[in-house]
Amino acid sequence: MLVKIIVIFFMAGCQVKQVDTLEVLPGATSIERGKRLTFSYGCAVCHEISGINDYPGNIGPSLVNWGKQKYIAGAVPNRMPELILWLKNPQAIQKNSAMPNLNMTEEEASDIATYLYSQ
Amino acid sequence: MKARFAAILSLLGAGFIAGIGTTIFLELGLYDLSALSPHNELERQLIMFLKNNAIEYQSGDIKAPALNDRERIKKGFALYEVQCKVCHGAPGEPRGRVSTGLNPNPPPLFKADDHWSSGELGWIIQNGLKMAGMPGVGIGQTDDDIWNIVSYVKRMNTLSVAEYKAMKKALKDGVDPPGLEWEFPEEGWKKLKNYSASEGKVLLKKLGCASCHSIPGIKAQNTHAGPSLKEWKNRHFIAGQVANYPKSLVKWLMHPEKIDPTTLMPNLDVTEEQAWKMSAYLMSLEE
Ligand code: HEC
Repeated sequence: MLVKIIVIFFMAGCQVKQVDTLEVLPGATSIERGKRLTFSYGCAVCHEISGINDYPGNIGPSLVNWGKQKYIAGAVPNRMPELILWLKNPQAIQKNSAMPNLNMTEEEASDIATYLYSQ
Repeated sequence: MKARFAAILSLLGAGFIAGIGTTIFLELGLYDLSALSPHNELERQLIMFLKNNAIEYQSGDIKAPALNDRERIKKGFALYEVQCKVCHGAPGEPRGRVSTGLNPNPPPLFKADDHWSSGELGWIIQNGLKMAGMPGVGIGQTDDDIWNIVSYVKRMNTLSVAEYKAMKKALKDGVDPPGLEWEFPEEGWKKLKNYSASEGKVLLKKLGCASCHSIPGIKAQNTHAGPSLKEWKNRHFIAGQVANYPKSLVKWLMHPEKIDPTTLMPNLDVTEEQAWKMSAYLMSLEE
């Protein structure tokens, strides 16, 4: 067990690189950036999302297999432009929605949407 | 004797190598300290394990006063808005900019009442949680303030977006808008026991619910028009508007348009009796 913990710490450490830019994930793909942002915006504290575990994760609907879903919030078709709009401002689509407006930029919303569709 | 000596020696050796390894790892600065990078799953599980056990043990003998009290909940709401919302958010409202990017992500508290006892909630709020970014809110406040916050946190478990907006208006105007209930509502768990989940399952099948929702136990050609109802009992919001408890679920199944006027979920003309039976089945879906 002890050895396992240490090995895992080392593996976590191996991903750490010295960088020369403020970019969080230099050279990353949209999916990789989207995954990070999905964690940092706390999407997984409310939603079940493949690849990200957070607590409690059951406030809103599950987003596993999101690409298969037909509608967003039972209101608009599930396509890229509508999803970006939803992420930037849920209340524009569903006035009384419990999903908060997280004040993200267009690029961030686009990366997150790309990650969700890649699942 | 020789075997035991070898065992001790190899244990010591392993300990020594592990110690050196850890020192080098820390010395070289290899620990990923970026808050934007999630903990790996082992770290996360260890932290949750530690947190759950420490809170359960250390809050052991705390007795909560009566919490379902209008004045308490009202005062707790006012305190929460100023002190807690900035990290934990509110129905339909985000945490603040300063707490976005915190690691761990502060959880929304809608489900806190399902997970913690009142005494545990009081302990957490009073003491805060080391290494989690949760401050000891007890500093500079009376025990009564803490219990007021606990009572509102427990009320959040059933709070709808509309009720939350009404509470905000009440706080701002100094008068309650008509119809606003501060106390914990009757949730209907006891009544639910009188209805047969298996009859509910038959109804869900007959009405074709599984052609739009994935529902464990019911097979159908699913178009994925609506969200998955897997582990439905654990889900917090219905249609992102009202909290999920038997009475509100019955209302949704009978009149979805009354809860969400723009929803694509059709009104299927179900009777109250049928709605309770279907709720009995849906609420039986847990892990
Ligand atoms: C505080 C909890 C909360 C957070 C944080 C949150 N959501 Fe939501 N989300 C909800 C709720 C509740 C709904 C249901 C809203 C509705 O139907 O009006 C929802 C709905 C959605 C939907 C539509 C789901 C469906 O089946 O119709 C998507 C997609 C979504 N959220 C993605 C995200 C992403 C991505 C993030 C992070 C950037 C995020 N959410 C953060 C609570 C949250």
